Amino acid sequence: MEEQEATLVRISERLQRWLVPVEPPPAFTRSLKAELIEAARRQYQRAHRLRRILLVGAAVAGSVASVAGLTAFLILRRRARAHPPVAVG
Amino acid sequence: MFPLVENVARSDRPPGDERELVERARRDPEAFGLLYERYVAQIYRYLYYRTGNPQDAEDLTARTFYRALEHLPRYQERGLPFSAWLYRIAHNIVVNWQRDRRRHPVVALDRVVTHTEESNPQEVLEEEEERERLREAFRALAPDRQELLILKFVEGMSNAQIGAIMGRSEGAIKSLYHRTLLELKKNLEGME
Repeated sequence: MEEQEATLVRISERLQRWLVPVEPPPAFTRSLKAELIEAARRQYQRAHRLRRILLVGAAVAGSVASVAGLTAFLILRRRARAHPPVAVG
Repeated sequence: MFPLVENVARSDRPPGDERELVERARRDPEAFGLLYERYVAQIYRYLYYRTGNPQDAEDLTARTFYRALEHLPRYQERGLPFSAWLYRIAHNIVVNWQRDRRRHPVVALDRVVTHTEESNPQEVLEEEEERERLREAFRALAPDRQELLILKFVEGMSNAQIGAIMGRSEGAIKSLYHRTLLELKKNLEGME
């Protein structure tokens, strides 16, 4: 049991020597950052445009629905006036 | 020199600061750049040891951050550090990459042994053989066990910090670490 523990300690020491922190090359991190910021800018602009299109679309749909509702109301009122209900009795 | 911000695991940065930065990064490209700076070295190191060479580590690091950018609008904070989400993305990317490599195997250039003129060729050879055995034994581990060793030795994280990243308790990490060492021992014995 003690021998096994000693072996595990030796393995963890080997790991410690092998698994050392490495740094990404500065040129790579710099260029990737610039690319990502540009990609983020494009992505956010696309999302912004899409939101604007949806907003304008919703406004247009709302306006069309209002005009259609008003038109329907006026037609129904005109019909009601042209054919007034006959009084019973 | 590129100003890399020290990784969150080694600092006492309050989580609120991270939350705020993630929120800003959803609409501000410069804030996304700051998030990237904060985590790029960690993710690169993780991928370096998972892939075994710097070229693939660079390629997969770039893929990880592009995917993070694409999915950031749908990211939901669930009490885990933001790095846990990035590690998940990196893990999925490396698993797919390994699957593709098994279909189309290539020889990595870093396997070529290089040594200086001053070093004793016999020692260099023995050292390289020992490193190679360890590398092979490490590669034979399950992905979560490799991840645990990288976070522990490369990032110097505590069991509690590793638990937060991997979504497990501190005790579970301690136990997984012990089982991982036992498996490594078995793998190394199998190679001798």
